[in-house]
Amino acid sequence: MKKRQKKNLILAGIVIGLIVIFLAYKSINSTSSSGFKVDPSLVVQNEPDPTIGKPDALIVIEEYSDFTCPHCARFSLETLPKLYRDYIKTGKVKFIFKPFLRTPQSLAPSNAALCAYEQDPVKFWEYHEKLFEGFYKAGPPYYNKRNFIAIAHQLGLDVEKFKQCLESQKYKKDLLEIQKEALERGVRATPTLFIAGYPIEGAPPYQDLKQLIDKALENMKNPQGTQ
Amino acid sequence: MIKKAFWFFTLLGLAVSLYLTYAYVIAHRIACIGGGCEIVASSPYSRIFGIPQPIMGIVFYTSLILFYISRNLRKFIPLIVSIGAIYSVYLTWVEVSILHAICMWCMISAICTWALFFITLVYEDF
Repeated sequence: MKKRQKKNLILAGIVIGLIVIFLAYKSINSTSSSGFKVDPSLVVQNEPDPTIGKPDALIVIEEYSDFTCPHCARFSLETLPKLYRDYIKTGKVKFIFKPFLRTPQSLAPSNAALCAYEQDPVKFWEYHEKLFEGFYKAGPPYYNKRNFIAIAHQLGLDVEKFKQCLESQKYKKDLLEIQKEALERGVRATPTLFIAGYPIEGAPPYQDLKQLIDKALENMKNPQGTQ
Repeated sequence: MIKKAFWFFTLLGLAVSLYLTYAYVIAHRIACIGGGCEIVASSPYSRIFGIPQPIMGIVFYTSLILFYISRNLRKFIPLIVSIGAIYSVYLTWVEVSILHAICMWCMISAICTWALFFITLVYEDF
């Protein structure tokens, strides 16, 4: 009797466990993107690196970001939309995204992102968000040619032109230049932010980032306050 | 012997969960061999319905202790352990197949859970 009860409890446990797993997995995979939409008028055209912000923005934030870095994904998906809402849209900050080749696996998604940028600097921001979102949910295997093209198709980019750009690794040279520049500037980890030229390693929580930006803005308005 | 093994794996699992909760929720830095912990910790799979997985670990191992102490509830240990064991299979599958990163602490906790499942199967007191 006792053995039977134990067997039933184990079976019940396995069934409950499977239900929990199903619900947990479903909740993760139904998470939609943050819906980060960039106002086209804020996208700076003809810049070598993807840039958003008003031309007369008070400070510049540069981000060296790697598409294979989970912290960079979190920064782009969670922090950047807030930064955009509070500082970029309001004309205080100009934001420059620099894809950094941290590992050999970083090349394919970085090149794909720049292929999207070449075609449409506005849609680049959606493209980069979708890359990070896919990587965040599915890990490194998400970065394959089929997914790169699928996103391009979804965003209405010229798929044939995109494929050529992808296959020729058109931006490899430019990416190596960015990597060289980053290493010369002392970038050792990703993401690394340069807030008005001042380096910050890692992805700080938004509240901490806000404080750093506010301090930089204050220093801009009151240069005597700086060291 | 089996009883000692039960306590060993329960307390080891609890210690790992406590450390991971501290590292994940408070320190935001995990000591790790192999570097997989950061990937796992920063992925969406590190939480279940918004709750950090290490906290679920604390709940799991603490409930085992409480259920063991209480004579009336002890019979439900197989239920709890089998939920934990199957859930550990899922988390290990996520690490290997989706994230391609192994978190050593998560693996220790998974081994504890599977060992507890095995103990539950053979221990007649439950």
